[in-house]
Amino acid sequence: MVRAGRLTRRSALGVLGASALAYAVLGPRGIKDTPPGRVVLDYWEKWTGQEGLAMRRVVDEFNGSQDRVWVRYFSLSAIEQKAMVAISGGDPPDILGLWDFAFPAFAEAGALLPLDALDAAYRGELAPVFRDRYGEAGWVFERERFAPPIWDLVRYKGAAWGAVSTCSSMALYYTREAVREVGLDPDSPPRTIEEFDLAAERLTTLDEHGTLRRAGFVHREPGWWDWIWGYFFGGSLLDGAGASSAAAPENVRAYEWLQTYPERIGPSRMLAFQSGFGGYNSVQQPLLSGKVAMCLHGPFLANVVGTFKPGFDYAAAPFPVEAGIYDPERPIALLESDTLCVPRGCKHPREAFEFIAFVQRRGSLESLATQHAKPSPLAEVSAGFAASHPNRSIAMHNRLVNSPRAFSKPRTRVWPQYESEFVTKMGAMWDLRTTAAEALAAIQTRAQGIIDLAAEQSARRYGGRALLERAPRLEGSQ
Amino acid sequence: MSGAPPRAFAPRRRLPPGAVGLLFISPWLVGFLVFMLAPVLMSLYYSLSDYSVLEPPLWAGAENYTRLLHDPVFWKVLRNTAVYTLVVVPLSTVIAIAIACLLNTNIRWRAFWRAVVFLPSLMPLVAAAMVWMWIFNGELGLLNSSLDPVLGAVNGALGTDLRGPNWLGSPRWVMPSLILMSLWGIGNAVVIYLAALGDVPRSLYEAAAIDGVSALGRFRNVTLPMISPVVLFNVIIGVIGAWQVFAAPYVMLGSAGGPDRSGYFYTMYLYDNAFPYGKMGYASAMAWVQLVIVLALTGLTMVMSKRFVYYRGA
Repeated sequence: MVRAGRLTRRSALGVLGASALAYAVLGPRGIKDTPPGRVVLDYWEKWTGQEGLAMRRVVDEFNGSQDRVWVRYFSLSAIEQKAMVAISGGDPPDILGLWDFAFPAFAEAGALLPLDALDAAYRGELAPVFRDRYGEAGWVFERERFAPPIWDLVRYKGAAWGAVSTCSSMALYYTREAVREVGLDPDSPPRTIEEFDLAAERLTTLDEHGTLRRAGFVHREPGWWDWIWGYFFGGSLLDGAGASSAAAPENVRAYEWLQTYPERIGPSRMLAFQSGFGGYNSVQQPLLSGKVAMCLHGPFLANVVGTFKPGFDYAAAPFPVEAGIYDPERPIALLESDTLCVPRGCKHPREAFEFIAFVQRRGSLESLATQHAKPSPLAEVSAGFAASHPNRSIAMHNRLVNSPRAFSKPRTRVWPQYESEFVTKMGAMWDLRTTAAEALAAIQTRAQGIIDLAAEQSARRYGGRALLERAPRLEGSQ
Repeated sequence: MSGAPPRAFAPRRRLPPGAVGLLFISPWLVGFLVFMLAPVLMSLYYSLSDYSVLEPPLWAGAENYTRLLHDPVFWKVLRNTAVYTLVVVPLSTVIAIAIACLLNTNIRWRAFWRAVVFLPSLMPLVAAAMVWMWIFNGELGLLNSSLDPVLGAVNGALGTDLRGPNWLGSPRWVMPSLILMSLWGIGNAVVIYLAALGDVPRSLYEAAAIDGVSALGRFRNVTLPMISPVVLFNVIIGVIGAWQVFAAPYVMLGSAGGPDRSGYFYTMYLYDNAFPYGKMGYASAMAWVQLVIVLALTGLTMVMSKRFVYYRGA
């Protein structure tokens, strides 16, 4: 009995028990938006906003196109880290949206199912379904359908670890009005570094106090690719054997060229000017706000223009290269790709592969590309693709995607650490506290140490077994 | 008739002593064991392994600890964090005590000023960091805009060409900027000091005044000794917090910690190793080294406190 004013042990436990029961019965419930009887797939993707919405539409289309599988789309930040924890804990999503440059780390650790194995296992079953249901004449994973560099981009050490969902090729973006203003032809963008330097110099403006008002070009805007410049001089950051080649003569030449920009303006003045740059996805984006006249950027910039400054007169061209390696038929450009992967421990690999195959249809790929303002990953685009595309330079971006000299981020599992070394030394190069040769030599030494350590640890763990030998296998496959 | 007593007279089954208490704290106990103790012990094991999260841990002995000794970035972040701690903890202690003393006087609108001092510490750290990024902006920032007239006058008088620094862009100014920003959250400490100041007996001040002790003397000989246990508490909490600094520099400077890693701190490097670099074993070793450092500093502070801290009841 509960006596007034005194709480007994029994009554306290009773209250606790009743509360727990009430919570269990009346507490919050997960939203059940899944039709009964379907195999439910969880799909983790990094996109939010407009880009996320584009993929949601594809997911909805897939869910409505058949009555056996239901995909639930989850938008996540820091997706790689969350995926690592989920895969390691044995409870991963069925489909994972990773960037292609995450493949070395995930594939080397056996965290992804090779897509080739899934293709081999389910192609026979799914190809007729796709033909009958979606009218696909050939199988969606045929090599000939894709731009060759994209086909290679989703492969690492002999296997595909994901399928492309969207891709980007980086190019030189410029303000046509500013170019016209200084007496240059906006339809004849610079092709070589020499032409580029002349244009950049003319496009740089100072006020009467000598304060920088507009920079022709700033290598550190948007600052995502501090490591890239050597490629436009014929360099690279890994040699054929996978060793660091950061200090190669082509790279040294590139970074010496880069240093001439802060040298001309004055490093402290340049840094102060840069600190006034706004973020990428804002009206303060430096190209839109007129702080810079040219920048290296991805095609997705067109969506920023569409959102914040419709009618902004811009154009894009392949980034200029050193005169000796200029070849209009084979432009040099960085490619990046968003991919769909099947992680180790996926509960429904067949259904996951079916969804991934669905996304590989021309209609889905081109719809995603259009809504993301990116080029198509396919070798050939449909007739109306360019006409309905928000990026006015999309034909040029498609050309870059098909270029034999398109390149990807260096393929090594230690790339995040290698890149971090680059970013650190880039700061010192940019404000002229060190020479390019010294900085690149330091990067190479440090990066090589990191690469060697990773190789040593891999050898200790796997004893030299090839990646495909130790890759996770589909249940039931040999 | 059996020997068993009638049910109504059966003795009540007694739980062992303390069982009910344990039962009541069991949710916390289970949480502590599962979510705290187990991960702590696992991290000790991981620190002795080659562990990338995606692959199972592979025993590596003391290799991670040995590698730390030869890692220049480790020494860089250790130095940065030590410098930050050495400056921030004394500086924030002095300023917090000074503000608390001011707010403890009979100023007008005292409650309002107390709220003003405390309010910034309620602001989410990431939002505060975004605001400070604009304050520190080298071209358009509030700080440099405020300095401009002063520097303009100096330049006019001396013919120099002084400009406001590029706070977050220059390796020389990154650390001072972060230290300056750390004072933003001083309100918490001020509130604690205010409570301690309110607890100092009036009679001691009156006695000191009768003896002709100056205001500074009263502060040194009455206030400081009386609030010294609270100072000790705040210093220890401050040292632990400074060794864990992460969010503000991460937001303001990016994952590389700004130019020359001048704003790259211990916990940032630990995080980078754990996730982006996939070196959880190495990160775990860093975490244990961090624990040892913090324990050593706390122990040292406690030992030193015997000379400086006065406990009224002792």
